[in-house]
Amino acid sequence: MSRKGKPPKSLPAASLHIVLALLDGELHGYGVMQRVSELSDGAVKMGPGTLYGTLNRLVDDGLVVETTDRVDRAEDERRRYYELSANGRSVALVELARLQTLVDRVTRTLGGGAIA
Amino acid sequence: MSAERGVVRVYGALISLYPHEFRHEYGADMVQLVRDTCDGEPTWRVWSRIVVDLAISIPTQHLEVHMHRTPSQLIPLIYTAIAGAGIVLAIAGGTSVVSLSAGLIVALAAGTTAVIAWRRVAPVRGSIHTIHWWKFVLAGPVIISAVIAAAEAGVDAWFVGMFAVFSGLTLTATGLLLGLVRLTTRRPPAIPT
Repeated sequence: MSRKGKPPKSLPAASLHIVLALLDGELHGYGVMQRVSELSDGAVKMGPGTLYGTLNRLVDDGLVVETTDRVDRAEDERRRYYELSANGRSVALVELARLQTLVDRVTRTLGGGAIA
Repeated sequence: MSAERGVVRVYGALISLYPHEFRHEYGADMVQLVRDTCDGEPTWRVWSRIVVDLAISIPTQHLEVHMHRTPSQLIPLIYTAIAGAGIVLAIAGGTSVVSLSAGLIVALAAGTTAVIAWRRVAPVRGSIHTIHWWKFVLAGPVIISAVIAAAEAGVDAWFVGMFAVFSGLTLTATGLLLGLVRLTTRRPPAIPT
């Protein structure tokens, strides 16, 4: 069966929140958790297992890279840092555009004036 | 604070339930994250998040090790099955208050975990429910046909059969409802992007 013309598979919600959180630049685990919570107005709060499980998968998929050793950090800094790879950044931007399209369509369906 | 230290200590012990490789790679970071979280949030809130997180991420990581891929929808399905088993326990217990309470508690806890797990693995997109309405409609007759076929083959499990028939009817009704919602909320032709 031909899969031609099918849209690319969307990221699962947990992965999507993490790649959008990392669009600003590198963050450590707690920073990612806080940024996800901030972006979702507190609606999404990831636990440690979900956060590191998802980060592990994103690193395996080549969307996120660990940057802990890339720069000198404070002596007592033991946290690991992550940032989007070039591929991860383009996937994040595609997802952002897809969500923007969704919002635009819904806004248009509501007549444009329903949302202040 | 002792309550915070307690959370960190208990969590440090609970992460031994994760697969060895995952624990070795991320265990220290996960404990550090719980420590950081305790600084800014009440202990009860940290605990509630940790319990749900452990319930979802421990089986996810174990399945990943065995399947060599992300189990995606398997975890919500497992918890849905446990919730179903809880309902069966509540029904099968008859007048027993213990069976009824235990069944309902299991069903409620597993059902809630299934919904949270599903929200984490499902992609964020529009019309996610209504687009699959026909699958729900078809699922009912398929399940009921399987029950009839099993009964004709001599399988004598009336309780399981009744449970399956009711589940099938519920799925078909859900599908018809979703189809109706899809029909009434149909958007104008797609906007070119």
